[in-house]
Amino acid sequence: MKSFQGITASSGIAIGPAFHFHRGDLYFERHTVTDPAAEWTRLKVALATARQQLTAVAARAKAESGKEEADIFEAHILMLEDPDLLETMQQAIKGQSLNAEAALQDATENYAQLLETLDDEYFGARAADVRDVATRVLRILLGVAESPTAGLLTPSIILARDYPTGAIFYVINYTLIN
Amino acid sequence: MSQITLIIRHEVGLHARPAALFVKTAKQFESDIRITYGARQVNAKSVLGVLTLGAGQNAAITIDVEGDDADEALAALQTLVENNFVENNFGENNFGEAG
Repeated sequence: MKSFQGITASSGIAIGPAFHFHRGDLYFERHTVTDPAAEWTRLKVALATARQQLTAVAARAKAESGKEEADIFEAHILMLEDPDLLETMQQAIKGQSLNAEAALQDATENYAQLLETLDDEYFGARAADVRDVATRVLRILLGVAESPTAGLLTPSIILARDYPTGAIFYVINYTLIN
Repeated sequence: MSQITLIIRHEVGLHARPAALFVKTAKQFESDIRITYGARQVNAKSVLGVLTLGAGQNAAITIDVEGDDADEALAALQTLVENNFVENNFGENNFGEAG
């Protein structure tokens, strides 16, 4: 028998099949682009798509779980619209001809690491939020569909390294109840 | 340039909903708004910047505002912090609700 240690999402004892959550392959190469203006537009379109997704998730959360859950996704939207983040990414793309994926990763990771250095549980947890938002946009840029629960057909114990908040909500509403 | 120093009383500090409300309020104004806490100064309209201040409960933050609507911006941010982040969307008063 194998045993795993981790942080639980809810208390108690559960017996059931294990479901290993993978975020999917979000591999990309860092490179320079020949048309930085088009690359910036590509990133802006991806950001707008992410915003649409988050607005829908926030509305659903508000209707089904209350304001507190919706606040999480509204904070994600604020991160997407962050003027300093946008400026940093625009500078990387237009100034250094960097591709959108690398510009996004660099800028968001910089903030995530700053938050982690605060040595405060509350603020440190926001690093995961920044990375969650970055992953959403990266997924859109790379055309990788998010299907966190593909293969999750029966109520299961979910094992994951870092489960995205959006996906938790998805699972609670669409799988565990059914 | 207008400046004010305020104490964050909220139990989680300038984080989560307080941070979001602070940034949303700042964004309603044209003025350039900066917050200083400790050695760091950030753009008050940047939620990531505001979060990286790590301003917890009882943190003293200094707000600097520069622009045409500086006075209104400062008053709105002061009200928000002093009311402990009870939502007040200008005209849509929610003061009856608990934080």
